[in-house]
Amino acid sequence: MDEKSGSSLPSIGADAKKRRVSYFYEPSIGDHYYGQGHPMKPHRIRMAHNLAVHYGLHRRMEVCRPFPASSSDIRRFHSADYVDFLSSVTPAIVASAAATQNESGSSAASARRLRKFNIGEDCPVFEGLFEFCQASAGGSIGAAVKLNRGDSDIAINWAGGLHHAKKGEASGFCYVNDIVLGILELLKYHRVPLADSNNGQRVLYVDIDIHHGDGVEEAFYTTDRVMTVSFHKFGDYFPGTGHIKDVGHGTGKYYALNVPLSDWIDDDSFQGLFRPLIQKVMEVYQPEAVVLQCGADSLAGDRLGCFNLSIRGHASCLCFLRSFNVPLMVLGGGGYTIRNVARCWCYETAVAVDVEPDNRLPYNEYYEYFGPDYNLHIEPKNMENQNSPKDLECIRNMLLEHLSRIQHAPSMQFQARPPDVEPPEQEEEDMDHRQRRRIWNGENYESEDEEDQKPQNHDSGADDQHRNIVS
Amino acid sequence: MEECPVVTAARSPPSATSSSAAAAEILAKLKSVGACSDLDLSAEAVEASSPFDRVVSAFLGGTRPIPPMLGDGRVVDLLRLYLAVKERGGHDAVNESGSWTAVAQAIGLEPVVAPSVKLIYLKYLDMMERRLEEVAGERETGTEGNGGETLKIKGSSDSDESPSLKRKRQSAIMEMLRWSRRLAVAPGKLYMERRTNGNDGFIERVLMMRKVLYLKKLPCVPSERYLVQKRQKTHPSWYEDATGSDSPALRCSSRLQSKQILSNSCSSSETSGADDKPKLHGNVSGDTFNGNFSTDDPEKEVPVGHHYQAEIPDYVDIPSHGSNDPDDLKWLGTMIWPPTKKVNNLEVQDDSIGKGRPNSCSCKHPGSVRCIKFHVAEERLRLKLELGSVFSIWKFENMGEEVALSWTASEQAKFKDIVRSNRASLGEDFWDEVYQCFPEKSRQSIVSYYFNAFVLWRRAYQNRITPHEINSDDDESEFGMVGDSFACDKEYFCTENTQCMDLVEFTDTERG
Repeated sequence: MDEKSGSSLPSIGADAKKRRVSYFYEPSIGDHYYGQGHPMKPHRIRMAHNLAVHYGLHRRMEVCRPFPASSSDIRRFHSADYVDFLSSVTPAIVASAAATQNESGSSAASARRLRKFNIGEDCPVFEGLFEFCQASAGGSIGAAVKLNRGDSDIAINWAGGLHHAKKGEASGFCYVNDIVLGILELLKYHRVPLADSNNGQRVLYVDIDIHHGDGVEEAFYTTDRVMTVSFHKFGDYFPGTGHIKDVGHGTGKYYALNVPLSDWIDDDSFQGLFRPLIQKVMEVYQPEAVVLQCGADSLAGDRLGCFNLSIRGHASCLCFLRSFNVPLMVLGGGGYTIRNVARCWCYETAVAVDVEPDNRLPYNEYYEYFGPDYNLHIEPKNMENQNSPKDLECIRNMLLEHLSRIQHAPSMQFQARPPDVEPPEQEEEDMDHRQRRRIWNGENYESEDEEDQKPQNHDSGADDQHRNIVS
Repeated sequence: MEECPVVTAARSPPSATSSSAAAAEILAKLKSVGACSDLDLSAEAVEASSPFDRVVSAFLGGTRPIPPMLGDGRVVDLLRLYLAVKERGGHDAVNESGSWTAVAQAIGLEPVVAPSVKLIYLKYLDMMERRLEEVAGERETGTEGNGGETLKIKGSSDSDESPSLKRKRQSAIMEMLRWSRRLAVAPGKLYMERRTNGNDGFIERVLMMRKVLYLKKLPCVPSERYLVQKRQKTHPSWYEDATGSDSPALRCSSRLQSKQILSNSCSSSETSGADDKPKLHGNVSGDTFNGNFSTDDPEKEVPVGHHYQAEIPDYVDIPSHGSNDPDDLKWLGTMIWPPTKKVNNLEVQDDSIGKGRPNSCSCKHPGSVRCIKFHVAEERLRLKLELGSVFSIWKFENMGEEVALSWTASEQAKFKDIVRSNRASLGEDFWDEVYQCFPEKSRQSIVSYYFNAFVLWRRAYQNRITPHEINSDDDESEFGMVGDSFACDKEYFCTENTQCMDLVEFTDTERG
């Protein structure tokens, strides 16, 4: 960090491990409160930031306060009546709507609107709701602009990732879909000019929240310019979407990928799907930017979740995507055991800036939240993985089969892409990797893959592998 | 609260005979409602343990070690504890008046262990108290049964005596919820007892309420799709037909009609306009997948149409150094770090990035509350020097227990009392009361106090007293979370039990 004093961050070093990282943080975000008993607590974002700063991670990043997104910015995705409602609703309006008995009058009209926009218990109206949405969306749009400008290689917004929000209604603790807004911003520009400019910017969206990323999938269900990949618990679980056979529609057919999982999936099983699938997606889709939603409710011990991932297992998804050296937006999402959310997002911030933090947490203002062990990492629970190897193999094969259909899609003329647009040293490694993977098909995929997964059996295996790829 | 005669007779620390008598009396009552029917006190009188302990043990089904012990190994006399609480109007009344300290003293223990005493009461005796209360209640209602529409609430006949019993007179629904909650604590026991007595009015009400809440509003949804997830294995039908087999029609994903993660009781979100929009499925017939697998339920598809999808913007080639459109530049926000001007001469070592706390410290009692407070304050100071003005831009001043400095001790005690007397599990929302009690404080500052100081202290307590029952994520005031000796009287105890924390002193350390 020789350039610490200047405003510019070091560019990619000779070892190609360094990434220029931007991080968006609104200092008042932690004061928002959904209400008593509500599991979504913006306080966790403040705790994650606090931990990251005590580890000194800010010294490897550029930290910005986001510009709040205005109503008109939010209308780029959301319907006008919904945005008008969000920007004007107050707890008092909700209270009077709840108290009303008659079917006419302004209170009754408010009550109807609350129902229409799905405002209620999951998505309550709280003080400062719209400011919260503005900060969340402003951070994700800001992250997109950073990436578009080439100012950063990785842009982080832990206040973002609210993937359930729909065009015209709130859902699952989410009101404004900052992800869709961020992706729309990314889609505005070609970052890498193509010889064949019939194709716009392609953005890959990857979602490792335990809940299906339904809002983002729905928003881009009919386009091939955004590919959505969601790993989620499926079966009697919110929001109920994300069936493996939901693949997109029209032009967007096969550009939505859903990975349905069962309870208590562990690190090895998860990566056994994540790595081969994302490898294949990167290979066939070749996105110009990637958005990773890091919902932390897929961690072991989450208050609402039922997966069994360690923090390393969760973060190794980020490690893997980072290794492709494609502009990467990293967002928050779910996560309801807030001490573990803070741990996870702090560790993932460290992964982004390529630091391996000590397991013993530094002293910090929220130290007591992390007792009685006061460590960074968490132990997976002793629960039986309900995903059998056979199930996982079938899911993987079926999804790889979906992906193979993209390769031959006529609108994707990758061969027309001239070789000189490839970024330098990094890409060569990736090309080797790709060629290796291309040889694999069908039957021998399994065995190769197992070999590939071996290092992850050890705790730091994912990191080692990551370093092998990028160094 | 109905007082049973034996209790009034035994106010003083019980002798061996009165102890036996009390135990026998209680046992008789319990047996009258079908509990502890196998226990015969006289037959086992030679045993060393007190009769009351054996009654409790039998009542709990042997699930807890008897006699209960404090963290330091001292035994708590359950009968004395039971009587002391009874004398003060029972568990709820003690809770509301915050007199656990008095209870602790009444049974010969020092005030600092009040939280542990409360915990023991809840674990060992609360259930029994409520069971006995019901015995009394059933006598009151006599033979009229429980089938009528009005629900007799326990203790309602004499509740005027004590204002602290007001909460007991809340609606029948409240009482039902209370019952459900106890049922959840000990499934099987209460339920069976109710069954054997033919007194299952609560069960009927719970079932009726469930019907009203779930079934009426969710006509198409099987009843299990709620927050409490079933352990479910991957269903082979998710992927089995990938090879084009002729397996029967398969369902695709659905947007559950209940869109709620949090709550089962949802408002129907099938709003006007949502039904008439075209809902197409991504799977067009003619490929590997059977085209007809989703025909059984047209609701279960990702909706398509301009009401749902985003409008994809036209793109332009970006200039080599990015757009300089001011509309774009505003999104870069305000750069906070690195700061534009150097704020101090402190040279920060790059290799300190990612460093955790040292392996040991020279404090007298490492790991004690006081030790940690000291090191956190030390680290804050270091960070403040490093960050300069960024420290306040990031609002570090409003992080951690320092926010409590703007609260007086009595305000803090009041806050704690409100939280403690309102149980979220009973649908009681303490925030309304809090906001009313502190009209001069902004909601933001109250929430800030809650997360930065109150929950932090609660966690500090849990880490030392109940490290296996830590919970930072339920806003509930359950047992063991807030002790009477906690924070408000500036006295902090932990496992070493010798440290005292003084906020003023702490602040001096931090500033000096």
